[in-house]
Amino acid sequence: MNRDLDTTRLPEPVERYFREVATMQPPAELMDDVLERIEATSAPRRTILSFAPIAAAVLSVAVIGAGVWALSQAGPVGVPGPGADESPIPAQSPTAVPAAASPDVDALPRAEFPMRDLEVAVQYPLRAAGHGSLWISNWDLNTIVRWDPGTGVEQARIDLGRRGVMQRDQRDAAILVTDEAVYAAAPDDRIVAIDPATNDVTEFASGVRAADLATDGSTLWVVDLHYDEVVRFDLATGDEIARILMPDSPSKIDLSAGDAWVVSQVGILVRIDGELNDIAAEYEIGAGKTYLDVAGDAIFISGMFQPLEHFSIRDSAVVRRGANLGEVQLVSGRLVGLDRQGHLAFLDPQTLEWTSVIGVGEFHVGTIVVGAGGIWVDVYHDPDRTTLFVETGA
Amino acid sequence: MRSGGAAPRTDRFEPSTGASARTLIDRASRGDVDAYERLVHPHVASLYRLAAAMVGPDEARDVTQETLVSAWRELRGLKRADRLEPWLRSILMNRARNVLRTRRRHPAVTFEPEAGHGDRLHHEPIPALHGHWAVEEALAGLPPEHRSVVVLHYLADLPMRQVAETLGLREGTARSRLHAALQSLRRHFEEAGA
Repeated sequence: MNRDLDTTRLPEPVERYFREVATMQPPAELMDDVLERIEATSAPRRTILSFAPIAAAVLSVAVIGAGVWALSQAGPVGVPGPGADESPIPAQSPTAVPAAASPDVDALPRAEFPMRDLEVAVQYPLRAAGHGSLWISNWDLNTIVRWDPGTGVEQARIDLGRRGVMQRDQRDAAILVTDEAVYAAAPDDRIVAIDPATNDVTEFASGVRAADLATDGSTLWVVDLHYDEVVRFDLATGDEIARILMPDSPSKIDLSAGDAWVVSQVGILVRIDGELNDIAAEYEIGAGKTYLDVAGDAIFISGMFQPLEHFSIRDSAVVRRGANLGEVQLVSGRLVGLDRQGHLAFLDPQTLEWTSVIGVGEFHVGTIVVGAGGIWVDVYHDPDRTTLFVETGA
Repeated sequence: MRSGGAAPRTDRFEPSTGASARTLIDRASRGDVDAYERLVHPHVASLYRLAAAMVGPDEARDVTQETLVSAWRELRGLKRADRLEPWLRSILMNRARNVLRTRRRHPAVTFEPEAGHGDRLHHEPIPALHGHWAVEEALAGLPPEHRSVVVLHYLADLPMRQVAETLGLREGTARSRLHAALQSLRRHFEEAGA
């Protein structure tokens, strides 16, 4: 056979190489080493599994994102993009800018917004607010609970379709509310669309394990933590537009000025050029980052009670670091975040200084959802879950 | 292997199938390490070879170990016993791609045994793969996602549908990546005068 015409044949040196690889045997001690490592960690593992709901909730909040709602909160477009001379990975050290100490919360004024407690009798965290409802995902039962915050009545328990496995890396069970539909991560690597008028569920896309969702109005951007990809779908047709390979463990996405920004748990911030559907730049920002919110030139990044950071797009660098916070979101020009001591803190986005606080009580896991006139703070402290509504007009 | 002879097996356990695999998964999920060993041991050699073809023999051991430790932690998520092997393969390929990406972001000095770079290596050389530096270089020039397709199709002998499933791609995407990878490899060896 003419080798030049055989387009499926490996070059002969590679074929020979693979033949030899196919005869290789693993080192004799490989499996023993694996078992040793497993046995060394098996005791704590069993403990964690015995508290599976809490562990899952902790895991989920670690990756619950500002991204879902950040689009609606982001500042004006027209952000200057990174300069043409930007390096894919600038050498800037993530610790070059010192972190601020936690403020004395007792000395801070109480936030002036009205607040009320809600009795949400569903032991799963809030994911979104919109269409007159709070949307609460339930990864174990494959359902989404729709709850009316005005009447305190459960409006619907929506079955997400065929039974399947909701993998651990999508157990944050992302939900995105748009004017037309509610998009939700579903088992078996699917995304479903829920009609908010009828609660009818249709399959929107498959082959993607959604950890976070965002929309620019015409396309749906999906972060796939398991396969390290960002997948973009046409919102009208559900057709896949692009599949972009990411650095390790992408977790959250936000959109600004036609670009997508993605933060990965191993500490890489990625800019995806929305025209090219390709990675335009990568920046090292330090590991453990799981929240992201873009507003104008600023990208606010935080992790699980790590220093809040302001990354400047123009400077391609972290220019300011605040005190430790968990989830943060931009709300009506202010930053809000949860601290480990049970406060919802309001911050000046320019300085990252705390301006006021609201006590939300001790918690293991806290979630912030923005929409429908305010901030919804969902805190879990075994065995109780409390949902607070802070009326900000957002 | 596609276009090649089958590798000899020296495994201690036969692959687990059906009810026995389900039982082993359930037991392992409850913390039974022996059950886990019985479950995965039949797949260790093939995983190791995949790792070797993906990241090279030096890091194959680490990638295989990380895969098996990770699989232990995630085992409760595996609902179908008949999907064990592809599931393990997916985890390994994911890890291997991460290693390759890290390597591309932080490239190491090119290894040239002729220049004496191997004189002070602390590990044992792998005689079977001596003389393949040109191939390693050619494979290293492929994007990780292209190399994955080549390795799964030609070394693991998977049809393209399964290659696509393993990597979470559409079959058409996997095929186009394979085509691009083969073109790149051919060009490499043509330029090198091979």
